[in-house]
Amino acid sequence: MKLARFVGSVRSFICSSALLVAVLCAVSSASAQNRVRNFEGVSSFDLSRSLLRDNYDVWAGELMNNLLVESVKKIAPLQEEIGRISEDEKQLSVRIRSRLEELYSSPVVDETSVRAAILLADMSDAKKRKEYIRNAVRMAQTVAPGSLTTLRVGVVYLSGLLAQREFSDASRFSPRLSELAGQSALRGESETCLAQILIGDVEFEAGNYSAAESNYLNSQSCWEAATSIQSRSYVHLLQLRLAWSAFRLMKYSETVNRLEQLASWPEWNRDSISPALKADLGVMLGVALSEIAPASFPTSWLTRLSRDHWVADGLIKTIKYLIQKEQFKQAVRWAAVLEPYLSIHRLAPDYFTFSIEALEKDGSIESMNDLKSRAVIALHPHGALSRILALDASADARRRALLSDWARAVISFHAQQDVAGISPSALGQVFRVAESLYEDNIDVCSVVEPLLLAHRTLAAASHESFSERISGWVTNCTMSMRQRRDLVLARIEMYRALSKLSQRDPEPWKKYFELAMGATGSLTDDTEIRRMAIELLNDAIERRQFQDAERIFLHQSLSVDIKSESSHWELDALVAAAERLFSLPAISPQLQEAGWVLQRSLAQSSAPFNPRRQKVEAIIAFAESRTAIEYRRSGNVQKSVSRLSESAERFAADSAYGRDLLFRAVQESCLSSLDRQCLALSERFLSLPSSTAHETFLVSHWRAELFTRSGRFLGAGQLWLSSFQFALDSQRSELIKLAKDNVVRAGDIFAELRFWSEALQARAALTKISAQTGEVAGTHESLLRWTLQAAFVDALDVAYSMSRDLTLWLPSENKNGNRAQKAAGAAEVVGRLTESSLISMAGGKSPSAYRTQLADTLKLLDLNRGKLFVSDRKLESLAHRFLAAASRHWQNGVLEEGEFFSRVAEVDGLETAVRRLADTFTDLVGNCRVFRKHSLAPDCLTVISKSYSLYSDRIQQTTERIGGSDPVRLRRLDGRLAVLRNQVASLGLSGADRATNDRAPLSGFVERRLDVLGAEGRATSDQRSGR
Amino acid sequence: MITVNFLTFAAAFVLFQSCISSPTAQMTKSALEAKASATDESQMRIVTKTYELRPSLPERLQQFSSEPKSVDIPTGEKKSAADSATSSEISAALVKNPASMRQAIVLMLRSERWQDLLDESANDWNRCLSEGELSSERCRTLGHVRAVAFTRLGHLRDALLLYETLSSQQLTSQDALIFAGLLYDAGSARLCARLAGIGLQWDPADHRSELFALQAKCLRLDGQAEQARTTVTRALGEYPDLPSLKVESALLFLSERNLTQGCELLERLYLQEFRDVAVFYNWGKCLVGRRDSASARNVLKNARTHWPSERLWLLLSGEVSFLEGNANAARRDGLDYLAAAPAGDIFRPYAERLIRNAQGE
Repeated sequence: MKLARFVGSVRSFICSSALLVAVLCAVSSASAQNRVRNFEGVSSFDLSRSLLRDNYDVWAGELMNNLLVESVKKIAPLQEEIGRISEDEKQLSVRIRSRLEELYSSPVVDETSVRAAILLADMSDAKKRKEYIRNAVRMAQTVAPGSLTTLRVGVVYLSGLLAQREFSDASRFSPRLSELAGQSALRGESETCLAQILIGDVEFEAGNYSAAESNYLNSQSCWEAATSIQSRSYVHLLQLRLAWSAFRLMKYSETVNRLEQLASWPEWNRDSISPALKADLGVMLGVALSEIAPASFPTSWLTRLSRDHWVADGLIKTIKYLIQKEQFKQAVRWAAVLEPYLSIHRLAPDYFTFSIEALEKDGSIESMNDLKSRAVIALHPHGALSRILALDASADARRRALLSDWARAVISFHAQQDVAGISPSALGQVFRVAESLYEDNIDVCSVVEPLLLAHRTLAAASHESFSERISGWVTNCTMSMRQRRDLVLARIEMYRALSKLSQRDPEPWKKYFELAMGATGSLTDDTEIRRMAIELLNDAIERRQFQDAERIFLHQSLSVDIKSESSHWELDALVAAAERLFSLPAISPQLQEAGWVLQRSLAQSSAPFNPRRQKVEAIIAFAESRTAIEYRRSGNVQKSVSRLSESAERFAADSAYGRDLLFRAVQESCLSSLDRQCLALSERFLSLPSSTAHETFLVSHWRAELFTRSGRFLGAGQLWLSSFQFALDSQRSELIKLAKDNVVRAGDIFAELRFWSEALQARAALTKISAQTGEVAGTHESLLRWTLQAAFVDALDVAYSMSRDLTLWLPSENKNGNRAQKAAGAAEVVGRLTESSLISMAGGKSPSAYRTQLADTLKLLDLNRGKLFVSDRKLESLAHRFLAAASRHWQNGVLEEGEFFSRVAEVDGLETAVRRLADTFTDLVGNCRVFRKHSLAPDCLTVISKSYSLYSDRIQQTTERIGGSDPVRLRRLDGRLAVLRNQVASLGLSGADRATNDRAPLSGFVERRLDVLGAEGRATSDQRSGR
Repeated sequence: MITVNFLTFAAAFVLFQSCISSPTAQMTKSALEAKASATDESQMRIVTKTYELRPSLPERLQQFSSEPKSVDIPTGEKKSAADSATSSEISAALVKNPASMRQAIVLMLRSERWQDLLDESANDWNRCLSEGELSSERCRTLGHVRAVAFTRLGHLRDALLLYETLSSQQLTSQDALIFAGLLYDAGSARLCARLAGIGLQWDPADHRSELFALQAKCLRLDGQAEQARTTVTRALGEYPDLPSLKVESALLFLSERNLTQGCELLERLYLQEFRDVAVFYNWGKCLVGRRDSASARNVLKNARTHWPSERLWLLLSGEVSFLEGNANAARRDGLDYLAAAPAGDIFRPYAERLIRNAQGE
């Protein structure tokens, strides 16, 4: 049935003028045409049904009442009679019905039968009722064809058929009723007007909209002529049907006009209209207006919005249908016109829904979001609209759903925007939207995500009050770590921006810092938080909030995951921050501690050559050094040293910077005579595995100096000897020079103490240094000194080893030119003498060289007025002592030689021996003159005396052997004897003639001279050596 | 006459110088050898006086000698200091009862069994080294005693090395005194003077006078007469009545060729009965220089009473005999001296010269 009706509707549509419009529309938009078609199909069905259902019941009821009233009046006597018989109402009812049945079933059909049928219909169910009414119609036509009652019964019957949707029966009965209504006798009767409406309805149901409209127009004319007091209400109903039929005939302007007339009737009882009908009216208005779509909105409707719900509904549907017709701009325009009226209407949710859809499809995204914002605000749970909607649970639920959706959308939209592009009013809207969402949800935590988004937007825009309120709402909610982090970050970022905006106001900065520190404490491992912390650190430095910077630096340094690859950026940032912080004029202990924390972490996780680690260590080392310098400048050297050493201790063992600090601590302590520290620190430094050569040498040097200061000469000497190689390795000339001096000092100590193995080590070290550097100044003197010291204590082996190649170490300038003319030549001459003497003493080799060197030395000594090493007092003393010892040795040699020649027997040999003895004696006398002059050999005259006796004896013996046979040879011997005498005389031995043959006087004289010369010489020698 | 006197004093000066300055190191060595065989009380005194030139060791000995006369040996048996405890007993006391260390050391020192002392205390000493307890009183005392033992045995190198080890801890002025004496004994007057000076800077209250005297002596022997005189002057300002400083002043006068003042000061010291080998010997030489053989003979007699084993009196006796014209006696004394003189003895040339003079060469 429905299908048939639907097919009929479609058919009628095809045949209507709307078809042409639809076809034309289809050219532009096939989809739009489809939507209209579907709407037409559905709405026609709904519309017709609603209209019929609404009116038929009313109309049939009214007519039935009329008929019943009349029937009851006729049958009243019967009722009274029956009432007398029994007072039992139930029994009475049964008996009345029984009687009515009798009357109805009576073969005699009269007016009573008709009335009985009507009464029974009223008392029966729907099925029986239809039968009674149909029979009533048949009986009325029989009894009184063309009567008003017959018309009335017919109207009731047709109403019933229409109400029961028995359209086939209605169609069959409709002509008969039309016929009845058309009787002239009944003209002017309201039932006639009513019948025409029903006939029109039957036509409408059959899809004969034109016929229906015609009947309706007839009925309208009928009513205008009728005098019934109810005619006005029937006019309203008729107006509805006319609008309806015009709508079905696609006469949209007429539809709108008729609907406008309906709306304009103030006396129309709107409560009498069913909700369904109102809905249909709305649909009708919407479709019609959207079809007309005038350029400007028909503002006459705006005044009727508040009075008629269906008007509002219709206008909203207008927007909807415009959207469906893809007339988005017009929909938007009209929606804008309607907003002031509908945004507070109970249908506001619908209005907003379609308005938003229109804007969305129009592409006005911003406007759409604005409207959504306004919609959310309009739907605020504490607003007037919400109170209205709250009466309807479904409407309230829908409101809440829409609010939630739109609020989320608005918030999300702004969250995706650049904050700089959001206007202040829009930000206010964001907050109000968020607030609506918050107020509308008892469980605020269920909407925590959009609230967080809103918070983020507001915070990013530095809207402190709004964002903080939102923050307060969600604080107690259970959030994911990410959500909580985002919330915190947003707040932090906001206060960061505020602090930058107001540099002079400390409050935003305080808040920023507190929040950030709190976040770093609770969300330490979060990467974003760590990034924020680094930004905070940099901000603090920029803002010169150094205490705060130190705190965050310490915290981050403590918590940074050094080993993580992802922490490299943070480490770099920390290093950069450290570089800036530690370059400040004043560094707090906290900052230094923080630096140490970072350094320790890096040291534990990276190699010494890691650039980042090196940089941090350099920064810290520099800072520690600076602190130490400040201590020192204030006079607290001990504290400076402690600081440096403690700092060095804190570096890893493989750290070059730790080593440098320790080196400086050693340097400072040792050079400041902080002996205890110097001792401990230098020992520690020397135990380090990777010290540089020059550092090792210097530390050893300072340590040795300390040993010297404290009397540990052996330790100092050993340290000097063990450290000189480091100076050579360093290739630094000043250190090598220092090392050489140290080795000399070591050699002096060991030679003095007769630690010969160490002294020989000193010799090896000294010669190595001299050989490698070519710097031999002082080398020879030192080697000579040690040699002489060994020789004096009869350590001849040591002296021999010490003097080996002694003269190789003479300065180059002494090897050329007339060495005897130079005072410095003494080194060479004495050196050669020493070498020769020791060789001679040790093995008796090279006696001639020994003699030559002694002669040279004596010449030099005489030439330099008894001085050999003017600048080296100790060496001078040693040289004189050695010269004395050498002279004694030489004298013994001379005596031994004299003894040797005295054993020659041949005359020629004797003469040769005499000549050589004379020459030797000449040397002896010459040398003794020098010895005497410089008080070197007190026993020299004794030797001369012995030699003189020996030689003179040999001469005399030779003379006797020769006799007078060879006067030439004798004269030569006499001459030699004369020379001897002269030489003795030159020593002050005046009685040469006495001496010739008298040894005793000469010996006595020599003995006396010995005492004098010995005492004088000794005194001179002591004076020269400083004793 | 004046010339004669000058010459006489000049000759005396040479002898003074020989005896006082450079020969002292060798004298120490011979004295040590003599000490090694000394056993009786009188020899102990002589040794002590001989060590006047090295005041460190007697100071230490004197300190230990002032300890209680008895010592607790773990056996519970009381032994007097005069008793000669065996090395093993003493060693046991050291090991089991460290508190009795000092007393045990006293016994060791008095027993003069130096090598035994070194052997018995070796383990304890090694323990001190390995356990890093050198700063403890026990270890330091033990170290000092071992140094004394090394010195007595003539092992100066070992003694010096040991003191270097002890020096790794903070030295006291007493340590400096001992160590400087050792350096002097080892032949380095220069280092001796320096360390004595260092010791004077540490804790001036202790051993100051001894350090002054030692520093002056070492400066003098190192040829730094001017510095030595400064030191002596300063020391006498603080300790005007200290005989050892007066002796040093007298010797310094002699080395400065101020024979008059030097001999006068020696005479006063001698008359004050300040018993000192250097005073007696040098005063005797002064008298020889003055050709006062009778007085010189009295000094010699007195000296031999006090130090009968001192061989220096042979030289002085020879000089006096030569002055008296008794060449044979002079020659005999010279030969006697040479007979026991070790190699390198600085007095050997003077003994030889005495002999040559006596022989008329």
